[in-house]
Amino acid sequence: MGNVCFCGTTSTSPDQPEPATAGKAPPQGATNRRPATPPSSQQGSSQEPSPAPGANKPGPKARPKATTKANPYDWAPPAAAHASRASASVSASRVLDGVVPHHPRLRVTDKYHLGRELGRGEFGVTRLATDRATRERLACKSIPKRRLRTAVDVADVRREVAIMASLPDHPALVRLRAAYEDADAVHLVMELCDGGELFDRIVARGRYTERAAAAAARTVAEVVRACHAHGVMHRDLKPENFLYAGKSDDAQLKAIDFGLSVFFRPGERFTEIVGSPYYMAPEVLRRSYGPEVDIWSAGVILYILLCGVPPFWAETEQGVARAILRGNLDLQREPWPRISEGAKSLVRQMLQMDPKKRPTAQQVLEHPWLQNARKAPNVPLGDVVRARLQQFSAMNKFKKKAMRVIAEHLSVEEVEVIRDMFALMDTDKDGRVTLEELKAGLRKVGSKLAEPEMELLMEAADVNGNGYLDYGEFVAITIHLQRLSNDAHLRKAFLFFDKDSSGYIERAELADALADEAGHADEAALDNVLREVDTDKDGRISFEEFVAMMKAGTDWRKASRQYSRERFKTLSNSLLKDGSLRMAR
Amino acid sequence: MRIHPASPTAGGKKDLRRLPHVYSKVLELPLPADTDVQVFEGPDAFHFVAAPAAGARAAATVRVRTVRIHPGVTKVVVQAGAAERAADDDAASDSMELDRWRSRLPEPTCPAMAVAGYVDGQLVVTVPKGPGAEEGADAGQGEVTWRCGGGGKITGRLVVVQ
Repeated sequence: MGNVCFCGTTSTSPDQPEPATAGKAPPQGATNRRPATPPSSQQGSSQEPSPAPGANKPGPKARPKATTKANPYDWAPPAAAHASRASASVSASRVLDGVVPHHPRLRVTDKYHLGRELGRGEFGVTRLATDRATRERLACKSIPKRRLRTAVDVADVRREVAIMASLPDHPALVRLRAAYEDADAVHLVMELCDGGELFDRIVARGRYTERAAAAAARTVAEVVRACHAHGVMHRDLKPENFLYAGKSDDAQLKAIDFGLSVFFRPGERFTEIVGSPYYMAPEVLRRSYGPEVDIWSAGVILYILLCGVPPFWAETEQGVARAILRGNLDLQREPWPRISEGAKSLVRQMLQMDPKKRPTAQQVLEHPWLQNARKAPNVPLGDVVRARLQQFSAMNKFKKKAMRVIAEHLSVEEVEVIRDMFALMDTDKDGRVTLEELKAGLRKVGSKLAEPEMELLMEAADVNGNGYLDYGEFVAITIHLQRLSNDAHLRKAFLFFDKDSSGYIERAELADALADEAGHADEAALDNVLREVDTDKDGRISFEEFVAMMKAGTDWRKASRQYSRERFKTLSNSLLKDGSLRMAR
Repeated sequence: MRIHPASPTAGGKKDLRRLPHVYSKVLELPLPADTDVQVFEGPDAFHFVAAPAAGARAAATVRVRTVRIHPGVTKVVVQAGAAERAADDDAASDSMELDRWRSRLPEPTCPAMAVAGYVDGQLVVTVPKGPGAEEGADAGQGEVTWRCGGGGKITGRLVVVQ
């Protein structure tokens, strides 16, 4: 790969007096001193930066920290307009040159319409991209050049694009379709994965059954195998970096974000510390590692899938690093005694402290527990998972309440469909649906839902926990399943909760929304909702946060390993066929 | 400036959270993650310049704190406010808050020698360079010293990187 080279306007600051000697306090009023503005260069052309100063500098010197603070005012920023003008010319059409075929004179919007935001990451925003000619839906990740702060950042993007372009066509790897660059950003057009993150599904479920965990772990191991076979070390495997291609529970899981990936040759050692807490291998912290670090990260993901929390955990970054290096793997605490020996065996192998003893990705895929994934037990939900499901339900109380508010604004036609469906279920006409009535009603239309899944549906939808679905609760779950929400409905629901019209739902208003019949709201439930929904941590919920919550994937369907939108469509189609309902969308 | 409430998990509940990346050298500013910060590279140092958010009142003082996460992993945290609030600041900065402005620092820098202050209303953080800079082994006791050259005068030609 070519070296990154930046050209731009240079200016020379006038020499300043040496900073005060050790121990001598700066004179009074120093903090108010305004240095002279350095003269700006009048040159219109760019030139190479000066060579690295290493060769001309004295050797390294030992300096006590306390005495080495330079005066921060020796340097002053140039005028903003000047800097902006310089950076605009510097950054145009530079990042992708020589990395990947791209279209330096075409705009990404010439071929694609950029729509709603799908996600936001450390370096950029991902939007829905629709091919103007074929109407195909893709995702466009735009990395603003103002986020490329140093040569290291630029090298990272160039390497990421080179890696994505070099990886094979594989169902578990997101495909790069096209790359564009303009004066402001690099745009990467990729396959669309709109089923949400693995992270969100883990948080929603609490933990996976062994069968579901094995399916996800197989995909993760397959990603590692494909990358390593092509000389790519991922270095940042974590649930946030896996997306589902669709919303069904059996949708394909894909790896995204190769921002920290690197090409490697067999036997090559790396020393650069990069990764994410919880998932980082101990040898990364020891600054000598190879591709085995990805097996460790995959092992951490498997541990989390099976029990819901990370194996190496602490409140601080220092604590997490120490826990990783200690390597104390807890397979004694609930729920591990109830997990099969095969699953625990694989976890132990993947989280071997000695990278030489760790299995390769191919060996992971050949492990008996993964080989027999379809026979892995569907462990019933334990107490820990039930508690997490209750947390999930508590978080979603607000969302379900909002859906009931939306119901009040439905059109007559929309209401009629739902009312007829409710009437079909409510066989004793008492105005509410019991679990038995729900089961009988679903059986009547030939539903393939198993009883545990019906119970999960009842539990998720039954907001007040009285064991029945009343009409409002039935409407809420139906609205959610049919995705009838549109922005006008969301706005009305938001205003319903924002009683003082401040533009935010304050904690007190949230408490009102979640209060039970006695008028009491559980403080822990409030904290959980705010932690999940209040993404900017200002202590209240904005309309944007409200919309993100309503459209997020953390809904009850994630708690059912088999139920999917397709199943619900089957139910809807069956109802249509027997002529008793006309579906509105 | 917005005040971030303490993390609700501070009580020690073990759960799965999104966390920022780990790099060997990181600079963290007391600003939201999407703040527009300009970076200027000089021959002796990198300079990070952040204009205050519209309407926000810039803090009068800042301090620079170096966090040794692990030998070889250093985070420089620029914090608003006086040093007297060290205890609270420590807790806040160690909470692994996700929405903070962070930048990976290039390898030839000496994060422990970073300085920060306000110039014409803008927050300026200067991180000196050093040729082949690398942290020496921690002696385990006594004062930690840094092997790092070029930390003196911070002047020279300015190259704009944005």
